[in-house]
Amino acid sequence: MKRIEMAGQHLTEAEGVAGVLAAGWEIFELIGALAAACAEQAADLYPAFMFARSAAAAGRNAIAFAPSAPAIDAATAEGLKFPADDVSEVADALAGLASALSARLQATAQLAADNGDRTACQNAARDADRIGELLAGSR
Amino acid sequence: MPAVLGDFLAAANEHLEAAVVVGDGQLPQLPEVVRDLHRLVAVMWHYLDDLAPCDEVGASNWDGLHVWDRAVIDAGVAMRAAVACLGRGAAGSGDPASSAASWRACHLAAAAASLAAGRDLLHTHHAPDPDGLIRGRSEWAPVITSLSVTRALAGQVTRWSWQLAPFTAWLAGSTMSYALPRTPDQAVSAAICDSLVSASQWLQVAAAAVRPAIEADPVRTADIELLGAVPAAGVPQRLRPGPAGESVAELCDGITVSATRLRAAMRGSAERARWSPAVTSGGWQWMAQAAAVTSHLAELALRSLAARAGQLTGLPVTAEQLDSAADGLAGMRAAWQRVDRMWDAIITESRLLQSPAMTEASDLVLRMGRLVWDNPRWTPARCDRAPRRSPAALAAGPAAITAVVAAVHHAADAVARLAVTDIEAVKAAGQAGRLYVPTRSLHEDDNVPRMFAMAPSSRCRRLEDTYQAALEASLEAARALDVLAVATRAPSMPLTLARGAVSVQSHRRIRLVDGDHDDVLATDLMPFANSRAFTSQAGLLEQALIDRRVSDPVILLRASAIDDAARRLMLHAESKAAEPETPGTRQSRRLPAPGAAGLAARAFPHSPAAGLSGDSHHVRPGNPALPAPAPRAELRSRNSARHRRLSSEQGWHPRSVEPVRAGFRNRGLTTETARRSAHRIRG
Repeated sequence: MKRIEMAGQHLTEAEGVAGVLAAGWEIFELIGALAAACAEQAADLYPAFMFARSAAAAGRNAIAFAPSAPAIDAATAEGLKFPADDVSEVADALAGLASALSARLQATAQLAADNGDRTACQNAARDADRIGELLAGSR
Repeated sequence: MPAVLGDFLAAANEHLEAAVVVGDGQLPQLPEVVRDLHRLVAVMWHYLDDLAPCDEVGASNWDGLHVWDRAVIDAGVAMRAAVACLGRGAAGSGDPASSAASWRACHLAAAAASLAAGRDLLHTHHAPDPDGLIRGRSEWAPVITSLSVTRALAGQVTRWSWQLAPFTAWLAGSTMSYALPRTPDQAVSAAICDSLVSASQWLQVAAAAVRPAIEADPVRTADIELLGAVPAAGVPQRLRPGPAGESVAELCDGITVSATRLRAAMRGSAERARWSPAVTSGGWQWMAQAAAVTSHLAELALRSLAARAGQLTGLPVTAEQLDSAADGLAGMRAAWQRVDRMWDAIITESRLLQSPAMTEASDLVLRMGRLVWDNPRWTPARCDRAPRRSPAALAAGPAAITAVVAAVHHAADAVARLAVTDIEAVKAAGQAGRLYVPTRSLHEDDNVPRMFAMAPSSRCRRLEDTYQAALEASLEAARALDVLAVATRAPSMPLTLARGAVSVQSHRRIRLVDGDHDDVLATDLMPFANSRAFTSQAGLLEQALIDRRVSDPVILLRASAIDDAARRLMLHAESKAAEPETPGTRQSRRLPAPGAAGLAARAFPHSPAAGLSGDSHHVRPGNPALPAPAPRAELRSRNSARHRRLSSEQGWHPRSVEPVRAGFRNRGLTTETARRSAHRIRG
C-alpha cells in the first residue's frame, strides 16, 4: 500500500507534460506488477486483475509513444510481491490511483502543445479508466 | 447446427440402398435409370480421384505409396472405366421418357446430388492463394487430407461400388426385355447390355481394389465418425452475449461458437505479423491474458463438474478424471501467465488495436465466466463478481455434464490453437525486426540513446520458448479433455478425432477441378485412341497382354490404366502440336516426348497385336511407322470374344474377387515395367 501511496504522491507532485508522463509510467508499471501479484490471491478476482494488467501495459506503452516521454530510470516495479494487505483493499487502492491518473492525464492532454503528447495522454487516460472500471468495488 | 459431411453421406446411402432393391419384379425405365446411375458413379469416381496422390502411371514408379493411396488409385482406375461404360450405356439407351421419372431413377439422382453436395463441402476447406497454390483455409483442411479420412471415404465409396455392381448387372439383364417393345434393333440393346455388363464388372473391380488395404490397415470406427463430422468451412455467425441471461445449454452453445470463430480468426496471423501495424505486442499480451483467464474459468468449471460427479451415479467419467483434467488446465493457466509476463518488457512499434480474434476471445471469456459464476451479467470487472454457480445448477444431469465438457473442450482447443499460431506470428515479427525492448533492460555496454531498442535475438528466442511451453501445456490439457469428450460422447468429440488424424497424412494431391474423363478424341487418328475407360475396347497394352494369354484381372486392369494414361497424354500432345510454331525454333526441332504411351508400348516389345518393335524410340500421333489400328468393328468383336471367354472361365463375373486380391499382392510386373521404361526414356 505504501508503494501505491508513494506513486500517488509522485503524480500529485508531477509538473509539466514530461513529469505527468513519468508519473504515469511509474503508476502503470506498479499496477501491472501488483495486479499480477494479486491475481493468484482470489479466484473470483483473477479475471479483473489479469485484464487490469493488460490495460496497464497498454497505458504504459501509450506513454512510451509520447514525444515528451522522459528517459525512465531502472526498473521501477519489477519483482513486487503480493502486499500483506487484503486483496480487496489493494484493488480499491489501485482503482483510486488509476482514476486519479486518468484525471491528470486528461488535464495534461488539454495543455500539451505537441499533438503526439496529446494523443498519448488521451490513450493512456482511457487505459487508466479501464483499470478503474475493472478494479473498483462498485460502479 | 452446421452442415456436416455425414448428413450428405447418410442421405446418399439411404437413396442408394432404396434404388438397388430389385425384387419388385418391375422393369426399370432404362434411359432414366442408366443416366442417373452414370451420374452417381461419376461422382463416386470424382471422390476417389480427389483422394488419389497421383495417377496410375505415377503410382507404378512410386514404391513408398501407402497401401491406401495405392488402393485409391487402383479403385479410381476401375471406377473411371465404369463411368465410361455407363456413359455409353446412357447414350445408347435413348432419351428419357417424357413421363414422370421412375422412383428408382429418382433415388439414384438424389444419391448423386447428395454425394456431389458432400464433395462440394469437402472442397470448401481448400482454396487457391494469389499465387495459384492450393492452400487449406480452415483447421479442417489437414483433417481432410489425413489418412484417416482417406481410409473412411475410400472404404465408403467402394462399399457403394460393391452394392451397385449386381444392380448394374441386373440392369444389363433387363435391357433385352426392355428393348423388345421399343426398338426392333436387337444389336442396339446388345451394345447397351454389353456396356452395362462391363460397368458392373468395373464396379466390382473397384470394390475389390481396396481389399488389400482393408486387410492391411482396416477402416476404424473413429475414421468413419471423423468423416461424418467434417463440417463446411464456413464460420458460424457471432452470437453476441446479450444483457439477458442465458441458460447453461445456451452458454455452452455460445462457447462452442466463440471458440470456432476464434480458431478461424487466428488464421493467417503469422503472415500479418511481419508487416501489419494492427498486430501488436499489446494484442499478443491481451490474448495471452485472455488465454490464462479462459484456462482459469475452464478449470473452475471442471472442478464443479467433479464435485457434481461425486453426487451422481452411472456417469461415464469419474470425479478423479475431471479433477485431473482440471489440474491440466491449471498448468495451462500458469504457462500462459508466463507468456503474459514476457510481454511486459517487449513492445511493437504501434499500440494495441482491437482485432477480430480479440473480439471472439472476449465473447469466450464472458460466456465461460457466466457459466462458472452465478451472475447472468457477469463481466471480468470486480463489481460484477458473484459466488460460484453450484455444481447442481451447472450440471443437473449427465447430459448437462456432457454439454459442459464439450464447451470446456472447445475452449481449451481454441487456446491450444492460439499458441500454435502465436508462436509462428511472434517468430515472424522477430525476424521482421518488429519487436523492441526497453533500453534499460539491455546490458550497460549497449549505449542506445532512446527508450527502446530492437529486441536482441536471445530475448526473441526466450519469448518463443515461453510460447512453446504454453503450447505444450495447452496441448496436454486439451488431450486430457479429449479423453473426457470421448468417454462422454460429447459433441466436441470430432476435435479429438481430428487431433489424432492430422498427425498421419495421406499423399493425396489437392485439386479443385475435375479430371478429364470426358475428353473426346478423334479415335481413328491416333494409335492410342482405344482404351478401356474411353472406348470400352482394349488398348494397345491390354490387347498385347490378352494376345499373350495373360488373364490375371489385376494385370489387365493395370494395362488398361496405362492405356488410359497414354490416351490422355496423346490428347494433350495433340493439342500442343496443334499450336502454331515458328519454323526453325527449338520447339519445332525437338523430338516428341515418349511419355506414358511409349512407356506402355515398350514394356511389351514383342506384342504382335501392338506391332511395336522393341527398338522403337518415338511414339507420336499419326506415325507412319506404326501399323494402322484395327478397324473398330474388328476390335469390338475381338473384345466381345474375350468377354465371353473370361465369363465362361470364371463364372458370371470375369473379374472375381479372389484373383484380384491375389493379383494385387504381386505388383512386380507393372512396377518393373515402368522402371525399365523410365530407364529407357532417360537413356
